Amino acid sequence: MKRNMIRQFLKENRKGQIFLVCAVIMTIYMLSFINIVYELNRTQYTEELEINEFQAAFDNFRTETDAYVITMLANFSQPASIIDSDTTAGLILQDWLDFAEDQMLEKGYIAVFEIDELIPGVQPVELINANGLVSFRGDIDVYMECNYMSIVTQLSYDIGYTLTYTNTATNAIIDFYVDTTLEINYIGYAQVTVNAGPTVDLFNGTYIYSAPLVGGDVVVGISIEQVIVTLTI
Amino acid sequence: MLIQSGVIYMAPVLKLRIQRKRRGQLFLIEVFIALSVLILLMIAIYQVEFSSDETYPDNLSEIGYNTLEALNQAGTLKPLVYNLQTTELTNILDNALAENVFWRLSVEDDTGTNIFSLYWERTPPADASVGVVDYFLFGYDTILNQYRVIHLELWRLVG
Repeated sequence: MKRNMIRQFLKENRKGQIFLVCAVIMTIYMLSFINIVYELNRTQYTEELEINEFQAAFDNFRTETDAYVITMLANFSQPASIIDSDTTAGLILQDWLDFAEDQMLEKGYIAVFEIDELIPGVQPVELINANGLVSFRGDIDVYMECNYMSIVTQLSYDIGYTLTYTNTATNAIIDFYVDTTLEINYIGYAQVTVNAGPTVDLFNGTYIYSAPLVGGDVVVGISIEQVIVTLTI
Repeated sequence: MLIQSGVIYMAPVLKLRIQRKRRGQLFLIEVFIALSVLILLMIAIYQVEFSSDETYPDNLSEIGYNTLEALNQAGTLKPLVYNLQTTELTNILDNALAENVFWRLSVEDDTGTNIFSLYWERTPPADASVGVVDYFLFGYDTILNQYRVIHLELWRLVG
């Protein structure tokens, strides 16, 4: 009897208040939910942004190091080169890697860039300037770390600029190409001369000289990157 | 009369039946409305422009990096930086970046000595989200170890 009276009382008088309390609880719940979604989205966005910046920094390093190696090769192939040995080349390359390391540290990343020497303590990298060939071989160990990810890899270089020729009855077909670990790129739009005389550029890495090459002829190829390759017949 | 009396007699029963039937339907409609509101709310949350929040980071640094990287890949950046072609560099960056993105730039060597600055008199508003890029270069042409660090700051004029 008493219970029924209470029920009746609640039904009649407190229905609105109960509804109000429920509405407040629901509102708080919804606001918390919105906040959680917002925070999750925000955290995810911040993480994504930092990862993008981190990868951009690595890309900057890789782009410049790739270009650095080619420039080093170009410098090495020039008559007045500052690179006189593989050890000097190693020191110059390591200087660049140290500079890149400092840049990464300034950005707040942990970075270790080291040459993985071909023969430890003897030959850090290998530069060759031979007849018809200018090449570079070397490996760089890369370790980078930010709050959300790390990059552990090795940049491996084996690049060779090469000049070859084939004599025909009336002329000589000279090929100028760069050979990497991944592919062979034929170098068009370069400057190829025979005994300082011009050749006809077919723009696909093939150059035609007006006569067959004979002993003592000197073929010089200069790529867009200023890598000079000399081939003495 | 019989029918009339029948109708008169049956009316409250029918009303009750309809009410009972409709109560379920009404409840169902309510549920649908509530679910629709929830879904709309969820969509609205994901579509909110968070950039209006001052502390929320913008992707300006990414835009700045992509611009410098594209110029470097195209072989345009180094000649301008190493030959101190500041007017050309200013024009090229003005054209590459959106009109509502303000920027300023300084170029330093490896010791931190300033080589030149562009638009350095510009100061980002205190409440602006500023994107910062430090892009480094090793040298130009066959020159090695002439390092340069391009420090680029970007912020939006509006929003």
